[in-house]
Amino acid sequence: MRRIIVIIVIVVAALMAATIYFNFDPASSGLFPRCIFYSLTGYKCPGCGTQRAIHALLHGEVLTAWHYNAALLVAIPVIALYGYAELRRESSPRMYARLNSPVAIITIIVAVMLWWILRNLL
Amino acid sequence: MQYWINQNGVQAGPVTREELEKMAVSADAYVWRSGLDDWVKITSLPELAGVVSSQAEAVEQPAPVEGTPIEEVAPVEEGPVEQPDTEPAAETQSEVPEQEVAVGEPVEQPAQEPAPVQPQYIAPQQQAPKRPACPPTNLVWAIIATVMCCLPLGIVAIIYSNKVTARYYAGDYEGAERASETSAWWCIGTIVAGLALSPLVSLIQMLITM
Repeated sequence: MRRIIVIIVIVVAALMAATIYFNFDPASSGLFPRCIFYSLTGYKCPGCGTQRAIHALLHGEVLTAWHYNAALLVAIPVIALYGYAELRRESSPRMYARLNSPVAIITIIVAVMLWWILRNLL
Repeated sequence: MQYWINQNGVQAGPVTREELEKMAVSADAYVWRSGLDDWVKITSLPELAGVVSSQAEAVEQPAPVEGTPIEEVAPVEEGPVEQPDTEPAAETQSEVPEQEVAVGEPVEQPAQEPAPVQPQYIAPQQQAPKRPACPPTNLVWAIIATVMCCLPLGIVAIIYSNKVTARYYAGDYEGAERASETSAWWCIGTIVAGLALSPLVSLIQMLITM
C-alpha cells in the first residue's frame, strides 16, 4: 500500500515536471534553478544541461538533448532499469543484487567522474 | 483448531491452542494449521498471540531497537518475513545454491528437515537467520540526484550506495544500514539544495555583477 502511494506520487510529480519542462525553455527562461557548481567555479557538473536537455527531449529533439547533456540520455535507460529492479526486488532478487553489487555501482561512479572531467576538457 | 509446530527443527502436533500455551514456545517457532498454505512464524498468527512464552519474547525484543544484526539474535525475528533477497520461504531447496552465488557469500545451512506431516516443512529459519535483507542502496535516487540536479553532490550519494552493498557483503549489516541512511540523506539534501539554493546563488551573482 505504501509502495503504491509512493509510485503514484512519483508519477504525478514526473508528469507535472514534464508539463513545466515542455512549456518553458530553461535556456531562455529565468525560472529554473541554475547549477551552483557552475555558478561558483565556471566548470560544468555532471548534471549541467539536464533541464535544457529534458526540454529538448520532450519536443523530440534528441540530438539537441544529447548536445546539452549526453549523460542524461545514457542515464534514462539506466534509471528505468534500476527502477524496474527495485519494483521487482522480491520476485527477481538476483537481478536486484547484481545491479546493486559493488562492481556495478563502482562502474557508475567511474562513469560519472569520467563524464565530469571529460566534458570540461573537451 | 489443531496446530502443528516446529521449533528448532523439532516438530510436534497436532496440538490445541491450550497445549501450545503450556509448551513454552519461543517466538522463532513455526506453525501450521489447515487453511495455511505454508508454515508461518508463530508470531505472525494473531490467533496465537498469547502463546509465545514471555522469556522468549524478552530475548528478542532488544534486537530491533539497537538495529544490531548480530548473527544469533536479530536474524531470528527478521528472518523469512523481510527476507525476499536471500530466500523466500516458499522457494524450494533447489534454488538455494544459485541464490547464494548471486548474493556472493556462501551461507551454510544444516540440512535439518523434520519428517513431513502436512506441507513439507522447509526449515526457513535455517537459511534466513544468517543474513538480514540488504538495506536499500537508494541508487536510483542517487543517480537522479547526480544527473538531474543542479549540484554535483549526488556523487556522494552514489558512493554511499556503494558502501551499502560493500559493507553488507562484508557482513557489516549495521554499517550497511548506516550507509543506506546516509546515502538517502545525501539524495534528499542534493535535490532540496539544488532547488532551494540555486536561486539564491543566482541572486548573489546578479548582485555581484551589478
